[in-house]
Amino acid sequence: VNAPDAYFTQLYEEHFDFVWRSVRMLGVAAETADDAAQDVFVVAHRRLADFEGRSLPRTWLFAIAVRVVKDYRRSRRRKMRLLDRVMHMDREPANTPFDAALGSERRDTVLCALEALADEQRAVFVLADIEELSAPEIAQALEVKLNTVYSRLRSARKIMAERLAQLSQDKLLDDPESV
Amino acid sequence: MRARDPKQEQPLFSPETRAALRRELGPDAHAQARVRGALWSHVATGSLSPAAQRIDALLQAKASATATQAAGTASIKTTLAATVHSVTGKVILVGILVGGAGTAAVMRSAPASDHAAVAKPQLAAPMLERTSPASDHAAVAKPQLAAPMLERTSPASEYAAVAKPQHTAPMLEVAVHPETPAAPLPEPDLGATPLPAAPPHTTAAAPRSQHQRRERTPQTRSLERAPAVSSEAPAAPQQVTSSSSPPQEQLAENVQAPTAPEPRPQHELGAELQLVRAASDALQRRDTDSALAQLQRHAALFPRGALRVEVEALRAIALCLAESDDSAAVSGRFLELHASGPLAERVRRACRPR
Repeated sequence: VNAPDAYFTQLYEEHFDFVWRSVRMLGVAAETADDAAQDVFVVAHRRLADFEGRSLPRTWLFAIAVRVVKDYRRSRRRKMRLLDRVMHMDREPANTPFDAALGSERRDTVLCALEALADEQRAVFVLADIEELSAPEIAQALEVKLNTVYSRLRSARKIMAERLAQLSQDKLLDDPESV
Repeated sequence: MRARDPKQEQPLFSPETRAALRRELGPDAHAQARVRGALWSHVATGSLSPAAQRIDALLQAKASATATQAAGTASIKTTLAATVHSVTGKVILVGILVGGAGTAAVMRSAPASDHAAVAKPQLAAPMLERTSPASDHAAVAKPQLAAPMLERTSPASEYAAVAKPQHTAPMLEVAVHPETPAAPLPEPDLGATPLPAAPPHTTAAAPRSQHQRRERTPQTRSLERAPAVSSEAPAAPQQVTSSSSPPQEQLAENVQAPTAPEPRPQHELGAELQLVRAASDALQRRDTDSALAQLQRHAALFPRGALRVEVEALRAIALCLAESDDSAAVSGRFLELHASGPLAERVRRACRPR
């Protein structure tokens, strides 16, 4: 097997965790996050000639990740609709991740709350409030105007705050002793 | 209008929580090595998953559109440059004839110096490309490399400095080729400019059009980076050599003539669905033998099918309903792999001890 060149290898090693985490937070399930991260890097390798250093490698990879995740989510939604029709399955499982203590389930709580955001809001929120990128970097990664970043971030924070409060309330109602 | 800093608005999480979330939401310790194996194989063979194919085609189309747009812009710039040459030449000619004192001023702002200034980032860029990703970024983040030249030139050259380096290639071509009819002036600044000692490939690459630059494959990029890399890191040339083997050509073909995404044929998904539906119906009748037969058929026909996870879930459910000896192992493996998936709860319920 021919290994990719040193540049790409370095890119992969430095940013794999970031890419994996990003696809996960953007809505790819844990069991398919490996595949999605791999697809991001496969695309990145093929499009390396397009990357001319006008942005940070991280924002460039995130821009690819956003597209890959959108594709994954679209495929998954389609598949789930088909399956629901075929299998008459319950849409929601009987137990939610919030049956367990909120503290120990912080990761799942945040992932669940992120589901409440639209794709555009979610991308901005993840980059700003979890990955700690600056607004201009986010604007570059998502190819949107700076003010769009601000407005999406404001609305995303509002929705996230409401959703997290709601999840905490649900948790309190389900298991008052745990809080 | 000055935009607000989002950090001034309250983030939802404290810095400690953000750091903790990054750790908790990250991959496990083996993920990088796990993905690397498959990724390297994909890179070597040029094979792509359907999703990667779609995104690659989308980005390829976007890059082509940008290249076309840039080519149009460059064409306009070339025309403008030629016009400026022509007009400036006439002004100088008039100046010489008249013997006016303004001639020298006109010559100082002559477009030839613009070309020299433009040439500098063009030549500087490949030098920077050879270094790490951080310096790739620096290539753009630090335009002051070319600034000393630009400072001496007119506002027109400031425009050239702002323009992306690859957009300047056609202008450079006008400046370098003496046969260009629209350049009546001698090129005093170009000749006097102490150009950096560029490797031969850089000189050859400079006049290439934007479109040609876009056509480069990652491998050709590696080849172009090779000389400087080899002087710094002896291991790099081996990779360059290996990347010119047949798989690399195959990759290059893929990049130059990207195949359209090949969506999964509808009839294939339909056939998968038919088998899953039959298995599901059989399970509702509690006919586990029939369900397992349908699922076995699916596994044989579509080992990498779109519904293989669902098939595995149904298989686990069927085995549990049949109280098979394999049920614990099969359901356990499914739940291990898909613990948080939407089917996990259904499998847990079906396989709960009665």
